[in-house]
Amino acid sequence: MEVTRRYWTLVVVGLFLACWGVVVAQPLALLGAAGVAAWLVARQFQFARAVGRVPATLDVSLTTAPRLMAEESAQLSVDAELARALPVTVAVTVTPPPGARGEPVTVTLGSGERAAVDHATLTWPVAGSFRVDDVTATISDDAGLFGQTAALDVGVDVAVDPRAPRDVHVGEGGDRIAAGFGEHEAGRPGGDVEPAEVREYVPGDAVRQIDWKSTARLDQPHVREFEGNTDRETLLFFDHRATMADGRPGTRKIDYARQLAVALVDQVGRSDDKLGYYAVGDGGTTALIDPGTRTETWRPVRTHLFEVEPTRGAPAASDPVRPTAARAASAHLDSDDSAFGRTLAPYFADRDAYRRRFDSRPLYRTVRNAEFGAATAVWTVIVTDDADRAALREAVTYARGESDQVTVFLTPTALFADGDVADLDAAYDRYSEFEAFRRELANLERVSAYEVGPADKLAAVLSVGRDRRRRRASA
Amino acid sequence: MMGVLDTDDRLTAVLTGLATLGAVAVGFLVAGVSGILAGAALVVAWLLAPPVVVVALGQVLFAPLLPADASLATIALVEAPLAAILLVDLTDWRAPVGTLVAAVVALAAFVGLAVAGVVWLDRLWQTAALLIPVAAVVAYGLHRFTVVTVEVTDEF
Repeated sequence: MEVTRRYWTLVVVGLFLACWGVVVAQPLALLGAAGVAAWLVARQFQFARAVGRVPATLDVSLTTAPRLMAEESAQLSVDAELARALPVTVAVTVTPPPGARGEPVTVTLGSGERAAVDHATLTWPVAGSFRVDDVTATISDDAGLFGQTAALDVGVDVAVDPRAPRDVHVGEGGDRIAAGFGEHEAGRPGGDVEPAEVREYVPGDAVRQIDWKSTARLDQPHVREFEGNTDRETLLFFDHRATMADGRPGTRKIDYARQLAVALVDQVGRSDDKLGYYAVGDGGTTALIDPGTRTETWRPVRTHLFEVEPTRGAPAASDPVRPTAARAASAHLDSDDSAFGRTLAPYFADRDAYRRRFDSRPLYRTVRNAEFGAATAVWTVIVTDDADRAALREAVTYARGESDQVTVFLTPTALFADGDVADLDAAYDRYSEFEAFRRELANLERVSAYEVGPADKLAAVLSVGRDRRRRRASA
Repeated sequence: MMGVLDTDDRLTAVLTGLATLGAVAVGFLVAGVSGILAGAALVVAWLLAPPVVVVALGQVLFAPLLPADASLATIALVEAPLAAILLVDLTDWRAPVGTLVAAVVALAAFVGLAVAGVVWLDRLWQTAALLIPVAAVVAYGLHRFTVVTVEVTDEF
């Protein structure tokens, strides 16, 4: 309980009366001091009694949008209600969490008032999961003598998704893929389905998931989740190294890759396949979620995808010589007895150095160290860019040996370089190199490779190619 | 907490005004014209200052007007309208019974303690020395009660 300066003033008045009564030997002043003391104590008692009733009678509810995009704003409504009127003023203050921008909102229930509501607009600049729970009630009496502040156990959760690009292109050589990816092969059963758990409905759940019996019994909408007895496993490798930050805010490589990966995870969740997840930063594996059923992994993988940001790391080392090239060079140098041949021969003799050098590349290392499990069908998905093509090539080659199917989604650096496609001719040339690389991957057995990027930029770059072909045809 | 000119609580304003007029009448009975002048000063205070200040001022104004050997009955007569001002001010008319009972109990306890001190102790300073710690302990007890009630752990 805090006391105000007015309280201390009256204490001084009472003390003055007591002292003055003693000094002038006047009992009347002493009785006055007793009267002031009684008045202060009675006021304090009334305040204490009212404060004691606040926890049981005050009901505060916070309402805001449960899910929104980064940089979006949402209204926060603070609704305070007292079950009975109290002879005190109750001010409920809600302070935004560190992840939000906005002024604190205060709802004041004056003495005798029972309900009040107020609103504030909060802006959420950062993606992540937040809870608005810094809620305090400040109680003060009508006489302005006492105050009491207490924290209230109330809050509301807000999930802020990263800004997602709207023109996501997924395709091959500029052509969008028409069919969904990650669907079961024709004729292959999706596995048995067993009820897993009943949980409360949250916005975003499909209506068909609602379990009407549980909803009727529990008086709140509930959904039933099912767990498939599938033996198909999907391993998702998500690259968030520094190169994935290429592009403008909101339309970076990682933003497109994230949207693709989230769609993929949702697709896998719908098919009840097991899902495992590896996030790869510049230092190596940054997150690992072991393969599990939808109920075990879907939500954490999705949450991590929404929250992950590019790491800051050193650029990849230069590409080492591939084993086939090393073998050819070594064979050639074996027959070269010149000083030049003798000097170069040791550099091509150690073919194992090739793989050792890749072990320092985070994506390759993560794929190589991954547990591919014992499922009857393993589908490996790598979502990355083409910045370190040699390491990616080797990672895909390794994953191919461990999986039944490998799918690579690539964000072409050509579409994100310098944050803009200023020089379309140069961008087209770089995209052509990318496309050649993508085809090289796609030509590997049991490997599919797709490009992921901004549709409008890709269309602009491809138009340069069409112009060139038209000019050549007319020349 | 304001004077009657600033308050919206008309009932309390009227009742404290009547009690203040009672103090004017008592002043006339006890001290004649001087008592009326003291009462007039209280009326001005009633208009401008909170009731508890009116009561404190009443003690200061009436004390010199009473004879040194004033009987307890005379003192009680002077204190009655001032006590009425306190009781009216402490009454919340939305819940009059509870607040009035609390006010009466507090006033009776502290004034009773002061009277007992005046009657049974030799010197007035002993009564003051008894009154002040009791008020402090009661106030601290109420503070602790409040802190525990709202589960505030960083206040002592």
